[in-house]
Amino acid sequence: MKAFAIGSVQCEPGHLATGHLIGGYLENSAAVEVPLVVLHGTRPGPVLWIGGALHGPEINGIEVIRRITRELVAPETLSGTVIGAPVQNPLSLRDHHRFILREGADVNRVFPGKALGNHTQRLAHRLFTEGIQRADVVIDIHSNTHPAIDFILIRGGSPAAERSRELAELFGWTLVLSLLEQEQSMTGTLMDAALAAGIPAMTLELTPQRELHDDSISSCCAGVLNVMREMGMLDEPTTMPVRREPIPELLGNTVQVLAGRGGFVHPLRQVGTRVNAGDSLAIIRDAYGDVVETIVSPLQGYVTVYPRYANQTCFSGQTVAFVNPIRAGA
Amino acid sequence: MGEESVFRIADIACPPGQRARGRIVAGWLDDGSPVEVPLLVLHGTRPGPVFWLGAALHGIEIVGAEIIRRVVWEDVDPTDLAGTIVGAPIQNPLAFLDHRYNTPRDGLNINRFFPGNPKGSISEQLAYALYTEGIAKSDIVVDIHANTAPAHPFAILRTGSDPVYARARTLASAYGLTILESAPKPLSSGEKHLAGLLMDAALHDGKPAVTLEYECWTIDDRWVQAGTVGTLNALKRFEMLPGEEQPVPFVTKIAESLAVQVALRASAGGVMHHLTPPGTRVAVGEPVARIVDLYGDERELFRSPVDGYVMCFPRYLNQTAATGDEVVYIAPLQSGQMVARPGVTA
Repeated sequence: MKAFAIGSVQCEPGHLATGHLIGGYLENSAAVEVPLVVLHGTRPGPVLWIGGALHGPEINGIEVIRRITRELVAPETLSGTVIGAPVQNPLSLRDHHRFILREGADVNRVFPGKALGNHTQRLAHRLFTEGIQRADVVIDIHSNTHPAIDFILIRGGSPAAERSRELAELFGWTLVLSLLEQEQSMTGTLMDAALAAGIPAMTLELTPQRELHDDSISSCCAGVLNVMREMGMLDEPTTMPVRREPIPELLGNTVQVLAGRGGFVHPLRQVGTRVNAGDSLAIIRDAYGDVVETIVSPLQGYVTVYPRYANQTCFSGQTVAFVNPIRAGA
Repeated sequence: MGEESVFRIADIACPPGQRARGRIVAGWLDDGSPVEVPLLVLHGTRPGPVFWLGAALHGIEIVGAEIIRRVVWEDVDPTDLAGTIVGAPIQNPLAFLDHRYNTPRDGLNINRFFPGNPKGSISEQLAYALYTEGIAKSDIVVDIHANTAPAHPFAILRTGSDPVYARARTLASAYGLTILESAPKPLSSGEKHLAGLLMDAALHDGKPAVTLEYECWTIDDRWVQAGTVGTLNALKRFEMLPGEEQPVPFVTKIAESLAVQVALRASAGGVMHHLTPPGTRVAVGEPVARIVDLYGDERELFRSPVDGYVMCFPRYLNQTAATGDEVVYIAPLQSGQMVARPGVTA
């Protein structure tokens, strides 16, 4: 067994090592460092990439990676290598914002990035070429605002996507089979770049953003360990997951339901419940207390998220609810 | 009551037994549009005091807006009311629009600049307009705020020998919350002290006033119910409504006498881990939180500098901290020991 090298990290077999990739540079010439925590096993095996905080408010992955690398997996008993990248987008974490603010851009729409592109594209390119491309399986950990159910986004249409689905089943969470050809806007994700390179990949959505809640984090850690067992990285049998959420069906691409008016958002449904087309999902009240809009579901499916920016308020064109249809024939 | 009993405030003229709406124009934006503070009025059929119920003086502290809606539209019948309720659901519309604590344009915490300054920056002018056109016309003042979750809800009460402070205690205790006490503070003294609050200006003018703190960003139905029942209790105490007071749901009142909170600030940067839930009693030296860096190493451990109760783990947006951020609020026991003299905040 040789040492595992990535970025500034040199990790000997049976050890944990830390370091970073360089994602770009700032005006003061300082490097934007993407921190890495590597666990390198004592036996040969696959490489698992676990990424967090590709969007700045989505900090749950930081704690999942800390628990996996510091508490739950001992490198002496590991086959292969875990690369943890707790903060894949350091500038957005500093700003507590989804985007890299100076470019107003979402890095999870520009993968695999461009070597000579803007800052956002360069970050994606460096993450992909120096890190993700070296993995055998990729788990990208995101978070939705509360209230939401925990779910996993997967794609279809390739052997890598089929393998991703098998692995995602090991979490026991609701699965959203979000077909690339049916996407309105969610393309160019980290997951898509990995799948295009033949690497099984999935996007996890934990709850909530901005805070660390143990129920979601613990369940995610259990799922990651199960994936590692299935990959042969841990010398333990794969365990049957406990289903955490009540949605028994495979779901299809998210439909975002937008506000026409602005004001205070009052959800009318529990997340994870079924709605029909025409059912009301939420009301928007103005400051005087009048209902200025009733948000109605355009389709039959399950309400999965009531997204918000910071306050439980909205303005025209903002997404108020996610509804996912049942994926037919899958 | 005749025409003389119509209640007038800002652009509103509300007849007895009615509800009305309007706005204070507190300034103007670059495109010429007004900065409007919405007002709701519920005017009773019998004479009585004017009760100001304000929310969202900080733009993320929105739960009070829903408390006002419930009180004004659902829970109080104007024909039962003696006096008048004035609701101001969004007292700082500029901070509210940006989902920010401070006013974005001048970066100020408006709740340190009351009663405001008509020649000052936008926050000071907004405070001045709110005070002179709204609060000055009221007799009793409740200002509803919110800390970041997780927080133990509480009320901040000034104490002193003037009878207004006893009336303020009567008001505060109607809400069933833990009470944090402090001495009266000077007006408009800026950020260095917990002073120049909206309630300080009101108390200075002889109006019983209190600041309530629930949890921010969301419209949590627990705090909406607690604030609504508390407000109805207060209206009964000041003989504006008939009937018995009701127990306040969801809140727990710490019986011991507490001072206004001390704030611990971060030296390191990283992810905040909370070691004890808000509402927990802690002794001097007891660990309450730690900062863990992105690699998983502990960078800083926070110990309580006082005997007291953890009130809140404040944060900007994420449960992360940078150097200088306030990360823990602890309310000291009035009788407890203190190892240092930490900064006071709110």
